[in-house]
Amino acid sequence: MMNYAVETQDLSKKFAGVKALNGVSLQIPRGTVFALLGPNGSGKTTLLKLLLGLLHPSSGNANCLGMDIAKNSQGIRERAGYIGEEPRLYDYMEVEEFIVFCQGIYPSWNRQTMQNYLKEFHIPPKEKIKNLSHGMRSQLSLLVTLAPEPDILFLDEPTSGLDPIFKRRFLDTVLAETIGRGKTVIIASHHLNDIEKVADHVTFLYEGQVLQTSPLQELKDSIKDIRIVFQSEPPPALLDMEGITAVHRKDNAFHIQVSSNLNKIWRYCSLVPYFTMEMIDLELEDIFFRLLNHKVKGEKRDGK
Amino acid sequence: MVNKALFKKELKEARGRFLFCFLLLTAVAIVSVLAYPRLEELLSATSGESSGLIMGFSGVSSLEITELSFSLYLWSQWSATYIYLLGILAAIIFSAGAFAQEKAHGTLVFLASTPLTRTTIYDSKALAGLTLLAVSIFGSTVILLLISFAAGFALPALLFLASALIAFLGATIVYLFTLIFSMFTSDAVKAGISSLLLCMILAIPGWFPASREYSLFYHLQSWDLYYHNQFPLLFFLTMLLLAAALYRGGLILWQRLEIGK
Repeated sequence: MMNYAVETQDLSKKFAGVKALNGVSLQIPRGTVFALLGPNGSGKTTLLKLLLGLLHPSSGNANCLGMDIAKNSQGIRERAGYIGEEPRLYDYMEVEEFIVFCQGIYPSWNRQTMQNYLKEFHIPPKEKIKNLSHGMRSQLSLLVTLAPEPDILFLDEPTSGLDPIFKRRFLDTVLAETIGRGKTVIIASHHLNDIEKVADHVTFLYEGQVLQTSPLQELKDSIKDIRIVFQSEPPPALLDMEGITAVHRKDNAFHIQVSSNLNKIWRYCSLVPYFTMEMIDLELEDIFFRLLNHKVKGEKRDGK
Repeated sequence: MVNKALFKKELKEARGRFLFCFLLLTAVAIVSVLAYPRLEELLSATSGESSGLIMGFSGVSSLEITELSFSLYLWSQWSATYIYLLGILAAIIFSAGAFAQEKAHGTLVFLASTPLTRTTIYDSKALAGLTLLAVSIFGSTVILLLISFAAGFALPALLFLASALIAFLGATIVYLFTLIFSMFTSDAVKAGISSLLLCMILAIPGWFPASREYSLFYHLQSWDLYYHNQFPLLFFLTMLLLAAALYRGGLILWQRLEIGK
């Protein structure tokens, strides 16, 4: 239990009869940058809010940092930092005033961290929050989240609306604060390609359910495309192999989409005489759609 | 338990509303005192009519008034009318936005995701509003007494302060149920109007002599206190219990409330 920063078992959440989260079981290792990926409405934000105790589960249970979310959400929040999609801060306050306010809320506060980032982000302390740009507000939000030195960070769509410079700076800061410090970061996002640069574990959520969860590299190594030009007609058994989600062909040139069983399929392809053969890496977004298609096809096949 | 930083933030956010309520109550207090000499002139010019009828203020006309005095006049104006009516208005103004505005601005999620417990958030917000309410009610009553003394009128100061205490407790009850309305909407105006409607419903028994005893607002006028010099202990304790129940009920609802649905 203690090896995981977060562990959920069959966690579900209903809103007015609609399942926003449906039997999610996850194990998030400590010290990882864990991405929750999926389209809007897939249950990412709901999951984060359940872990923070803002929402109550309809069924199932979960632990965060070894604490039960239903029994000790305050204990979790003492060691967690949260940044919502659009950082909503007290607009009428000055930056400095807001920082002092936050300092009074958190049990621990690292002034050095706060001052370093205040300088690095070039946030004017005397400026009213309402006058800050979206990027600066995000950075201010990150600053007050990092200063209490949380053990776990929940970031909900943290890069939404940020320009590439702020986006890069934001993600770099998150990485700098976590790598080698044993902190866990859970990032919920639908910007799959941004997250690819920082995450080491990913979970794809779709309609409240887990499509796939895996270390990122493992996932990228197992889901690829194979482009091959055979010398003659390949055996039908090859194209019917388990793990192949789609096959596009033009004459003897084949584009084979693979979602599992990659090594076996690759080996079988290489046994058939061919002119050229290559393996194509996919981006996270392509992998997500591949998994989604696989699920939809599976459901159709099962008559769901 | 109260968090100092949150308590200070609440006070700061409410400073505009506090100034409005405090200045309104103070202005009414000053006008009430300074209007008396003019009223005396009117009374002497219309001798023969009942003073209660001339005054036409709540409570006074229903009582047998044989002799109008400054303290009776001021009681009818202040203790029996303005302090509790404006106190209730102030209570609604202070509490309607307590949660609703945080919801509207999206800051409630931020606040609830900090290590503050729900109890601490509730207590800090409630105490800040009640502090401002107390300062408004007692502060303006003290100003009323000071101006009266300065103008050369003698007043039973302790009785006036006791009536302010009763008005404060009545306003506290309104404050606490408005706080509950505020949890379930992101529109402070809606919360305030809901609370006003509830106040109007609670005021209905007071419109009829037979049911007057059952009206919270009738008792808030504290006439027994003035005429019989007797503190309405039973009523006070009942109000205190009601306030405690509302506080507890509000806290339980707030602890169960899901934030950021």
